[in-house]
Amino acid sequence: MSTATERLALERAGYVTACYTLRSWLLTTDHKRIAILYMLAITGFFFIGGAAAALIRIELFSPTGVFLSNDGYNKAFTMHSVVMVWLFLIPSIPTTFGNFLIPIMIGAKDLAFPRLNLLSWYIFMLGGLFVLYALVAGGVDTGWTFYTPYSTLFSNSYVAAAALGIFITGFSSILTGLNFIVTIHKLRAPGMGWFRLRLFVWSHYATSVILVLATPVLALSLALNIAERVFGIGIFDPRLGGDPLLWQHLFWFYSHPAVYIMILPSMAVISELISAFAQNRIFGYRFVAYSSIAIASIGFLVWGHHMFVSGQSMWASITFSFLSFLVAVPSAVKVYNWTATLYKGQVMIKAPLLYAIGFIGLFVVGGITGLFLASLAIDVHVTDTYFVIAHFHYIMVGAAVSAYFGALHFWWPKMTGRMYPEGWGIASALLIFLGFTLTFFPQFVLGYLGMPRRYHLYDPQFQVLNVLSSAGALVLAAAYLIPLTYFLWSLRWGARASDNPWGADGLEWTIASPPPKHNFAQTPVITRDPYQYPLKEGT
Amino acid sequence: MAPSAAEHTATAEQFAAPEQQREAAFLGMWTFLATEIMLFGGLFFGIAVYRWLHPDAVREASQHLYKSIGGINTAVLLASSLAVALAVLSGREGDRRSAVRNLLVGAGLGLAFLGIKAYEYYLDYSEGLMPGVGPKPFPLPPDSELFINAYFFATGIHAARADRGWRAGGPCPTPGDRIAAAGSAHRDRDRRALLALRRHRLDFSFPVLYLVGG
Amino acid sequence: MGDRRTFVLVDLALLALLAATYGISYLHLGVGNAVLNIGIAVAKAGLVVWFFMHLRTAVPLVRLFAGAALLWLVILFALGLNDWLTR
Repeated sequence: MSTATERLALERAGYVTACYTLRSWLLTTDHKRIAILYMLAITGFFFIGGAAAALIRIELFSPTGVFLSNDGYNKAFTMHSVVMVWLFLIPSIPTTFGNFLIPIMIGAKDLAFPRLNLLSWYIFMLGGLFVLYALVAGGVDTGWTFYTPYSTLFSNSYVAAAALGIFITGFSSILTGLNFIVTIHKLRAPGMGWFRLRLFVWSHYATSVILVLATPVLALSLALNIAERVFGIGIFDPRLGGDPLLWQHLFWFYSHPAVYIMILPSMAVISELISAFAQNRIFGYRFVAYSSIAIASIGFLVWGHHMFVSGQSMWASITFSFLSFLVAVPSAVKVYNWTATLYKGQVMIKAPLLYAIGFIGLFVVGGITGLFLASLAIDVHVTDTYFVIAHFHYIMVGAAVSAYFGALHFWWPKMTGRMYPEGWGIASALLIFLGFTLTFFPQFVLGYLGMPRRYHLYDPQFQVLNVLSSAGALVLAAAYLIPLTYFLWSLRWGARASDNPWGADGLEWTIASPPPKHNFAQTPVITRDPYQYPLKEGT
Repeated sequence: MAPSAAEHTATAEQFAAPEQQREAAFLGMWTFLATEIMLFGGLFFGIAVYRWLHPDAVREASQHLYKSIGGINTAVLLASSLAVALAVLSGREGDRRSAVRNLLVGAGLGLAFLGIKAYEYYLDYSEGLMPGVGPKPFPLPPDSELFINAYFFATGIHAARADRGWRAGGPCPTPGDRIAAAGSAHRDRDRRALLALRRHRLDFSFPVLYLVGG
Repeated sequence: MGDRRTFVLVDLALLALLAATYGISYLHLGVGNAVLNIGIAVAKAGLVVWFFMHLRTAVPLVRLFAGAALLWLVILFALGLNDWLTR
């Protein structure tokens, strides 16, 4: 038994230094440590998915292909998409920054169910292992959408292992969402009303609603898919009168909201970055908060816009097209409010702000091209072309990955107690933006000219644009490796971070960097609204 | 009801009060139930689509299923539910003996449910209705096979969960058990109430599965 | 005990509804069968959720969660069937 002073010292020690054994990490129930476990895992998956992307782009340097077979190319793009969607983008911000920050931001000691939180990490890793097994054993060639009947009756690849892996990770998502919902409802500190919550928390609440309500439908449809493929139980089989579009409806009922699972946490981050680096109250706080809920809800009503050319009824297409336009409204509300927050702010140009501004620009392009695709006639022209590829990469890479990197730079000092080198940070933020634009802007043109997705042999007239895009991808790859290097470097040689290196408002900046094991010595009592800039001394 | 000192010490550290912990566990359990509603909802949606596409085949298939056995089994499950609900009441009133007795009755009826289900599967199997196994050919028109397959898929999960239900808090920590444990490690009766909650959701799939034919 | 009696009554009501479903399946009412079956299924689900699953005594927040799941189920059915019913 430790004495009182020893216990006090332990209470004050950062969550990292509290104990160093591997066992103390693998059996931890501390939300901050679990966040780090997730971060290690998804960083690994990010580079695996990135390697597959590199294969794709190198292959496309030449119209006749470079080194992949037809089959090899199918497997490369499937692996890229499966790993990036389910093992990186879906868990990225919620499981790392959400896990780390939500309890601190609401003044709690931990999530409501800490052991469930650890369990969900293990479930995630188990699912990830199945997906990696499918990759190593011989790959999957269906694309990430697993369209039936190809995926269930014809494909000669490891579809079932990959589907089972995704099925399993789905339960990790569900448990994370459940934990966040209960935590935000029940564990807020005294005085922390709903409209005193940070927008980060609001957006994560909206994300959790999607995780909890959409993911079970994905789990069910994957289970049906596996039943048909592995056990021969006809479900979607057209020979028995089954309808392959049933798969598409069930799949997109999850997979369209899944895009909002990726983008809402990114928006959560951007709200924090913009207000901190503009040293300004977020403009129209309530509108931004409600727009998160609106995006999560309306996001469930639009899935059929993925199926305009599938044989879905024309009336259904019209309905889905109209509803898809609606979802642009709350997204635009956020963009206008962020811009208005920058106006007349005391703007500090730092790496996180560059990522945030890059996010806004790329998100606007991705969003507006989304409206093109929601229009029936244009969609028929560009369906399954590089226009679609460019559109969703603007949202899922340009916006979501930028937000992830912005969050990484902003909260790195809080999570590790070390500063990253600012010069390198700014340089790599610019390089990522340039590399991204060079990679994906030409793809809009390619798609509009008619180059289809998922082919590795193409008409020579498309070569110039493809070479530009591939060159951009190499720049982007290098730009992603620079932060990896200097973040690792900073762990040992970076300057020590103060409690509040950015002069930002928020509970996480009132405690030590890195935070102590139990976050707060005493439960804080909240007496004011968030984002009160300029900060007064001692607040 | 004022929390006793013992309960205070058993409250998990992230909660300020046992009441907060109890509410969180209840909310967590209902969120979990919402995910299950969506999971089964997706399956019922599929069945509805096939009912629309092949009305005659689905009607014939559902008439062909063992309605009597299914009906009796649902009655057994309802009785088991009642026993569990009464056990929760007794638990709340602090009558431990009666709670245990009712739980045992509930568990026994749950086992009976599984036995009847197994018999029903055996009949289906010998007739060739089970997908993939048993005698050939399939005895019904081909497009009713889709409904039969969905039926086996659904009842299979149903039976698996009834198995978990009667063990109410057995050794295998499913996520639901975890939430229940989080809410009430120190209070048996809350734990029972939460697990009973999980158990009751089994009761209403019968009408959809057996009588979708209409 | 009032609660105990309620539970027994609810259970009897559920059994009666079960018997009704069973009986209806021997009648031939065309569309009427489907309508009655769905109605009975909804009534049964409602009774179980309201009484056995303690929604009757639950705080409004828990009721809201149950309602949300129901609403999202309606979304799946309405927008999904919107395709097949208009092909």
